[in-house]
Amino acid sequence: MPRSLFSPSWHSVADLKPRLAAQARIERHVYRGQVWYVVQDQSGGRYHRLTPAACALVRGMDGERTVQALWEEANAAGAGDACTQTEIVDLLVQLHGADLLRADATPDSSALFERYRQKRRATWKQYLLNPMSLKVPLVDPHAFVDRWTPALAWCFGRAGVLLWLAAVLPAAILAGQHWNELTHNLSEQVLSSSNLWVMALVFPAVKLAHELGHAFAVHAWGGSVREMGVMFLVFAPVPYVNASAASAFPSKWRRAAVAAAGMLTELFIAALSLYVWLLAEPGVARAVAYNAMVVAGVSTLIVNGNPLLRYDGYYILCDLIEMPNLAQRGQKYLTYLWDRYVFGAREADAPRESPAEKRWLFCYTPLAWCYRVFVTLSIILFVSGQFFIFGVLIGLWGLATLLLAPLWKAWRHVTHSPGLRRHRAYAVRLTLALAAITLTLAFAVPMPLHTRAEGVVWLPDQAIVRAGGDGFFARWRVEPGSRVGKGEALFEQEDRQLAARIEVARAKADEARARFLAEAFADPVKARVSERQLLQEQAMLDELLEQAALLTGRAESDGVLAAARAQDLPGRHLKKGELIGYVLARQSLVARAVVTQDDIDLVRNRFRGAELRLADSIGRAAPVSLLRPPAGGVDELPTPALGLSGGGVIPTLPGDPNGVKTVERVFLVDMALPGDWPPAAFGERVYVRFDHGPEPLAWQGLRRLRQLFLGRFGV
Amino acid sequence: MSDARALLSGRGIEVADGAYLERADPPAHIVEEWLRAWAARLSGGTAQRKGRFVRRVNALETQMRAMDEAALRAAMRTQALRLQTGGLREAPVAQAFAVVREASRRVLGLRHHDVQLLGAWALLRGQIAEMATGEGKTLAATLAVCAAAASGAAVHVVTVNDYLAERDARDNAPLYAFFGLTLGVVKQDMPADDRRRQYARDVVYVSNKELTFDYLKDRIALGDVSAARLKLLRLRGGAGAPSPLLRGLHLAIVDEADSVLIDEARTPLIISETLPNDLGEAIYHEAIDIAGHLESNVHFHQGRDREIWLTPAGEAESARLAAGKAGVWTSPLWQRELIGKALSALHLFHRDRHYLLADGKVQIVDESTGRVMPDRTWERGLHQMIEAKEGCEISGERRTLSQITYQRFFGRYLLLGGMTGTAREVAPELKRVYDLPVTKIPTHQPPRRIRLPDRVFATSRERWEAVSARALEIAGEGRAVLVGTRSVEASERLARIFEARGAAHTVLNARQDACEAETVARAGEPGRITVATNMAGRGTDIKLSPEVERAGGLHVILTEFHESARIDRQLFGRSARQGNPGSVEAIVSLEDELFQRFLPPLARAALAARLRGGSAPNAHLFRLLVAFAQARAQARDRRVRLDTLRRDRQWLRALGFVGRHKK
Repeated sequence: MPRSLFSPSWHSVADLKPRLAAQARIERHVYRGQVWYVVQDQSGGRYHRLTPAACALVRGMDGERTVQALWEEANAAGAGDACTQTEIVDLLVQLHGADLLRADATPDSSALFERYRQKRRATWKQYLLNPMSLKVPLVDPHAFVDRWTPALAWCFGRAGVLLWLAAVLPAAILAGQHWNELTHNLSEQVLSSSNLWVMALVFPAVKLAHELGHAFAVHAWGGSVREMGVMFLVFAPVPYVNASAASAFPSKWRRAAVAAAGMLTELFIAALSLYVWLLAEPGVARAVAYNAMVVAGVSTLIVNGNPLLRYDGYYILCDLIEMPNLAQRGQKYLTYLWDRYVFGAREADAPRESPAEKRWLFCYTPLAWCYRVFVTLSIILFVSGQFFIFGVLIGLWGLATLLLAPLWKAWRHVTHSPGLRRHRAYAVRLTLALAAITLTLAFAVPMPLHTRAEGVVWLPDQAIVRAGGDGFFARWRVEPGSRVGKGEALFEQEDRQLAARIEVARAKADEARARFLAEAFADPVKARVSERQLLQEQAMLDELLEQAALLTGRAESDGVLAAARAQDLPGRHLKKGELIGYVLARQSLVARAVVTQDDIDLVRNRFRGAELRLADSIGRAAPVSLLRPPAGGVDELPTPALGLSGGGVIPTLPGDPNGVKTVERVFLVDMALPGDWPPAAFGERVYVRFDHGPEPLAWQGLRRLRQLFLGRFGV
Repeated sequence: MSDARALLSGRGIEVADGAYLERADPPAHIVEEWLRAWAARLSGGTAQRKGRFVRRVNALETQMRAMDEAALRAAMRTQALRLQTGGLREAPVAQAFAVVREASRRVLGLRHHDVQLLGAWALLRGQIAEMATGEGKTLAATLAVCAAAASGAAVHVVTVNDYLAERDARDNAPLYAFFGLTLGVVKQDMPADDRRRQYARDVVYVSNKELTFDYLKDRIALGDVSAARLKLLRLRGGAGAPSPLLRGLHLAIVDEADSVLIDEARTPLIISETLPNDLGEAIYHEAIDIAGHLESNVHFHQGRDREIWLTPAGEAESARLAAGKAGVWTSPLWQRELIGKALSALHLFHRDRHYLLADGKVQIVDESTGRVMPDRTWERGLHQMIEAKEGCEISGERRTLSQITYQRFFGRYLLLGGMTGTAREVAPELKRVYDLPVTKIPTHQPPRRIRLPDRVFATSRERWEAVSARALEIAGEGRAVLVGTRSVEASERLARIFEARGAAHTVLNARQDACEAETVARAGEPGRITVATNMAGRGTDIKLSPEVERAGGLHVILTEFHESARIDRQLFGRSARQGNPGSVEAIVSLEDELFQRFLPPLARAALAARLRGGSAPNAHLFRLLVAFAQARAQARDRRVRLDTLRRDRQWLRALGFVGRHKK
């Protein structure tokens, strides 16, 4: 839309004789080579950015000249971009909104009251829209900060910088040297219950220092801080100060320094804490130092320092690249791009940004959005792990603010924005079509669904030779390395105790039989008792004999007998089930994949095929089939190679020295190796991709979401 | 001296602190308004024909008949006192109505029907009385007017034009005179002093435009003065005290309320003055000259909705052409503004379609009614550009002095009531914006209007043939026919067809309100065919001659559905008034604007394919489609109105610093 020179509301303001409020100050700023003027309200902490033309106009407001006269003057001055009437009216409205305007007219008192009520409502609305960061102003720290500023002003000069560097640089090096000590079991150290108490004391103190850093920085350069309070950041109380007075500083370095002052203070504290931690003996002092280090070092760098969140880092970035309101401008610019190139609004008014600025805007906004989504999701998962109801509430809030609200706003933009007036019908149709396509793609168009699993080339169970019972290894019946047939005896174990018990049992059985035979004719009533005893003894004997038979190991399949240390075995005591060797046969090798709980349902119920690759020849894939339906879950891996510590993907319990105990239940799925492949090495890693047939993306996503909830919250 | 106690008593109204008595602008709550609209949609009552109120008034009738004139006047004074002290409660109002009814019977020879009592009672309760056309709304209003005026309140009866204001005042003057109430009529072109005198009277009949303009004039003259300050000024001798035209905004009774409060509320009323041209005439000629050098689609684009905008190439070209010129031409912003206006003047506005040249002046033609609007000018600069293009003398520019929306103005009345034949469709909006509930008043006699089946044609030509044939056929039966057209152009087209057939007919081309109304009033003679725009002569009764009444009354042919069903109902309402016989029918074509713009193309094509000899395939379905199209059109208009209102409010909020009177 072209800028219209005339405003229909002009008559309301034309005769007004406005004047800038007494507490307003104007400062000259340079942003990317362009001059702007910042009008600041000294008492309220609000500020406004004006173009030079607007500023000339505002400077002309002396309470003597009418707005009409000012406008005519501006026109006569013939400045390159004289203000339009509309812009002047907007400017007056803005200045009035910031309480920076005094006019000769009696203000409409009911309108003023209405405005006051509206401001209060806006605060509440903000609380509701963003319950993650509620701000409660508490005190005016001006007097306190002013009292101490002279004593601390040197911190914000060269001496302060040198001191800071002297403290922080060595600390950084030391931290690098003690990295392992510092990070070992970080979560256990920090989140243990005793430590939480220490943390609860240290955290507010450090954050208070952070905020005072901001406040003193503002005062040191002539600004003033009028508001301090508590902000509930994800329900955790954190102090804050309103340092917006810094926005009026003409030097961008000072603006950035104010924004950075909090982080610098924290890093300084972290450095000092590191020295204490290194020097102190274990005890309370050391614990406090450790916590201070974690809070001041880690939280600062991760949260405050991140320019993608609207904390200190964002403001530092804005100041350094000289682009205030980066986030809002980014949104505006992207909207413009969409209107211009997608909806074809050729006449749309391009935001006045330079090419470099456009690049910043183009990249920043989507990145920040994605990061916010990520952070919110993390918060949701973390909080709902602890308090389920809150998690759900935050989840709903996140859904509303991150997804539904932007979508609603976008729709309002399409249907109501004046810039799209000429293209509305097309824009609405296109939007609906895009939405329809997206929904169709998500809900109706089947997309390939695969799951992946890692496995190893493994032997089937019958190829594994195990000790049949407890006992000493006696001798090999067949020399390892030789070919054996199914059922052939491979080795013998001996168990003297068992042999003795067999002897005892046999004797007892004989005795019982003799007694029975004796009484069978003499005393039938007694004989019945002794018969029962005989049967009992016989059963005992049979059982023991069976156990003894197990001591002779037999091959369960044809193949070549292999044992790792065949010559060491004789004379060793073996426990039942202990591995002795294998009966190897080429065809009998299988691929054994480990499937997680999340995927096993798909593998069981939607198995359409599987594709296998060997780690050695990763380029070759071949279809394979299941040998048998997957059985029940186990909590032990066939080999540590599949666990996280062994280079695999399955998390294992850190306490298990063998590295095979899994954290969660896993399922073993056996598949036949393709017959036409060269023999694979036993134990070689394989990659399996299960094909589950096509399914629309939305259903795939929903399944994963459900599993996430099931896994996380057990609902 | 005015006394609005009767209107204020017990109603908890917040009064504005200004020069005269009016309601303070209530704070707007979106949710509340929304709820109100829904409440109106869900409720919506019909008054009881023999309800308690009517029984109360009727019970007093014999007693009143027995009184002499002095006693009636005395009774009125007694009730006026009761109203002043107790407010507009049912008992004193019923008493007052009984007195007025009796007085009217004696003075005017017209006794108010029961339903008119109901209508007037609704007015005094701050409602819209929906009374069928021909039920005597004007007479019904006198009940409320007399009661309120007797209690001392300044009563404004608001009509849609000066003619109706004058006529209604004249018709009811004897009744007001009977009670000693003074009567004023305000018309266009009245000097300020006359106006002040008229407004000082007890009852004032005035058109909505005049009333609102006078209010704006008061606001400009009075400025930002508080009630207390004004009193002090007057106490000091009144030399410096400005004297307003109006006495205050006490009670307004709005005739044709839907038309005033809804249809005309789309644009704010603006009062402006003409200033000498500060830019100099040469500028406009130069701009037209430069714009004439620009080429379409190279230097500028033209949009569908009468818009034009410069391309970057156009901006460069105009900058080149303007180089070296002095004054405002040096500013690129002014360049764009001037060239843009000049392009609009050259390419968007055409002589004899959008404006006429009369006496060397550019006069705007209202596109929808075809009327010339001599007082109107286009926005700043454009009018002068068109004058430059036509080589006329360049007039001075108009400067807005003050403006107000109807929504805001009528909302400031202490009590607002309205009457109309057609309010049902806009009831939610009336409730939402003005907090006016709509009460349907039953008809005095059962209506005898017959609606014949609709006839639909594929093309406009077939429709006109059918309309003329049908009109001649009915006129041949000795009945009177009124053909309603949507535009002046259509009425002229139909007139040509009648002329070709050699049929006698009268065409109303919507110029003079007074003459127009008289023609409409004569339209009830046997065999008479009258062609008129839908809006022509509204509020006028068509008196039927006895022969026509015997032959079956007036037949109304609607030739094109209006975007608003209310206008259609108003046209139909011209036949079969007050228990007369009559018939109506619609003969339309699918080429009509309503179908073209508001029916989905698919529905239109399906309908066209199944038309057989002028009858819709399914009468119910067709009516549904018409209702659908009209609902869509109305929804669009409603959005426009609510948008205007919202912007107006935002604006008021933002401009807190300019003082109350400037807004």
